[in-house]
Amino acid sequence: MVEDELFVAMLVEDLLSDLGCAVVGPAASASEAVAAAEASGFDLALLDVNLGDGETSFRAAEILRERGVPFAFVTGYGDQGVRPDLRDAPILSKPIDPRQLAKVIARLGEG
Amino acid sequence: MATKTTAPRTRATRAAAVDARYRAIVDTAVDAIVVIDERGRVEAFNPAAERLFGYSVAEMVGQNVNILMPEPYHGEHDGYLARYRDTGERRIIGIGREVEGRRSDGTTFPLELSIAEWNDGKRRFFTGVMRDVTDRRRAEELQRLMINELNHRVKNTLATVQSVAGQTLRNAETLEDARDSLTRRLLALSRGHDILTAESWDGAALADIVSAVIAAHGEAERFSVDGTAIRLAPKPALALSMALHELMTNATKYGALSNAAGQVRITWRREAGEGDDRLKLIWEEAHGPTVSPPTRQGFGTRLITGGLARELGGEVRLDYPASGVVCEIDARLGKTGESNRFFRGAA
Repeated sequence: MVEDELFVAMLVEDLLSDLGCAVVGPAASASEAVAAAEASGFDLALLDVNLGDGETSFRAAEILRERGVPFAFVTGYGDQGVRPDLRDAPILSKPIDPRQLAKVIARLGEG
Repeated sequence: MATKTTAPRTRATRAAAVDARYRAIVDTAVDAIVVIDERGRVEAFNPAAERLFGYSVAEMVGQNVNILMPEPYHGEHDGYLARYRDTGERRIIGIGREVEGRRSDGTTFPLELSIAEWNDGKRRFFTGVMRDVTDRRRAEELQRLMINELNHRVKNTLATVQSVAGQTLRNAETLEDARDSLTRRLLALSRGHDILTAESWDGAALADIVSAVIAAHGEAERFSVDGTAIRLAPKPALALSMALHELMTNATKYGALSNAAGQVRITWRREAGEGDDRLKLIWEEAHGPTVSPPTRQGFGTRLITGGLARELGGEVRLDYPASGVVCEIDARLGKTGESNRFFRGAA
């Protein structure tokens, strides 16, 4: 999980646990996200787009794509907040709809 | 004879008066005013136009007005005028619109332009009134950015409320307990935002965060507070504010603030380390009822030992000795005066 907002990170952790996932993270900055994306030990990734101070998780997303690890974005900006070439990844909006999250996780898990 | 010569003179005097009146308006106008003939040659160029474009009236009179325009208008303007002469088709005349202007130094800028057409009985002229709208464009862009940012913050805040509400409901023993805890937590979040808003979201002084939490509780005489000036970045400030609220709530329910004699000591200091300075903050309860560790981890414990530690980039210990709860925060400040994710430079 990449998420720089403390309470949102707790929320995502709870919702993922409900879905039977074990959570690694959160990575809370672009550099932490890149390091996490390069590491192993997880099956899929949820990436908060905006990491504060103008940082984003796009570099981490590129690495995950190269590695073939499925991922989805979580953002308060809507689709427009995601870089156009990365918009084919699922995009979840904040606040998070648990049913939508469940669908996305199921889809990423199949891929 | 006398009447014959007086009449034209009076007419001439009147015309001169009208001319003087319009000249005064044109010369003092804040907007740039340029008069051209139907071939685009400049006939008049007021002082505001001189200031706006950086050309003098002497340089401009007789010039093609298209030198005030960047491409593609520069190249196409003669064609626009010719088409208007031939077909009467209007692009700007009588309508007004935003176009680009070009100054004598070659720089371009957004310009609001309106054009009036008139004739003196023999020839046709166009008067253009122009205004630099750079500032307005910039303000509009800033407003667009702020609305986007506001939307993002609102969404994040709603997700924060979703998080706090969800955790509160998961941990609550009764519905009443849940309602009470949730209300208090939302109020605490709101206070945290107030502190940050007061400083334009540039961060907050640690002392201000501590005193706001104490003020919300009341009974200031039960606290002893001592610490050096340290500024936190916005997110750690909010996390610390919420963590202190949780400690306060716990102390009020079970700890030092639940009896008449209990006291809370909040102290912090900057400690020089190897290369980096560290912040050590201690919350210590005393003279309360005998303490025993909680049987399960609630929202407060999770926030303090997990989230807060991460937000401060350090470690947080929460201990339950019988004498009273102790919470110790050990965070990396970085070098003195330097800003980072957790702390703001120049305390």
